[in-house]
Amino acid sequence: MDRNKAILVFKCLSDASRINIISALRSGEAYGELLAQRLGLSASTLSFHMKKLEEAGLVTSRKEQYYTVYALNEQITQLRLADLIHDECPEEEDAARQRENAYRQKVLEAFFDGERLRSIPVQRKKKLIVLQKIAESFTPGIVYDEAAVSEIIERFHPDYCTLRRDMISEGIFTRENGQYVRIK
Amino acid sequence: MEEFINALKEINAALNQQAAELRRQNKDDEAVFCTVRANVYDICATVCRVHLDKGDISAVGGIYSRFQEEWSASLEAAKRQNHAKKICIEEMKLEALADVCARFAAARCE
Repeated sequence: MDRNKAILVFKCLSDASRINIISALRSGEAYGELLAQRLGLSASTLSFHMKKLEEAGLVTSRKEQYYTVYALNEQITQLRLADLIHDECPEEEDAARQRENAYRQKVLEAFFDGERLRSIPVQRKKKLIVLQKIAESFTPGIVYDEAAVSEIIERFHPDYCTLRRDMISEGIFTRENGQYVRIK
Repeated sequence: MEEFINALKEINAALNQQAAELRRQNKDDEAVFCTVRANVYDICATVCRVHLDKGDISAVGGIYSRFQEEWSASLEAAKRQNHAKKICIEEMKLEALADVCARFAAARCE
């Protein structure tokens, strides 16, 4: 569900009378007058609540001569909370991705001098970005022996032992019997 | 006329109490409507008190009529804008005012 629509639903439900109306409609559709009577609300108050419920898509209405009949919109009321809060906001996802890319670029520029790594970052998030950059020199699924791995890493930084170990602990490589495979 | 003013004050107090109770029950919109009605009784009581003290009670009816005209116009505007909450509020105000006017007319006859 669209996020703004979900917010409208939550706002609408933050009122005891509207919850009572929904509860009353669960047993079936009802005339407005009957609902007002059953819930002890004046006609204008009920009409106000129904308008809000309709705006949120929780209730539908239809005219029957002079009367209005209200019914629950099962499509919405049967949704789970997880469905309602499911993030479907592409603009925000795009913006988050862009921010992440900009941050990644900033870290790479700060720690790399061309192909050489100036220093190994202390902060884990930054170190992970650096390790992923080095991992791009390895083809996923190809088996490398330790010497080959060390040689490639050494092109970036002399402390290849630390970097190799970190790449294993971060799950970038698997190591078995001195054989290394890039997995991510 | 003193009785009329006291009655309005009593209704105002009862409605304010009701609004507090509605708020406690998480019925915030209805609490607002209740406070709106309470305010109408309060305003009308104050108008009457001021004019009674000035010895000009005959002006009160005219002021209530002006309220009625202004709030009716607000209701029509709210209906044109399809503003559900405002429609409800203006209807509540007019309803409370009609009650005040009826009580005022009865008090004048006494």
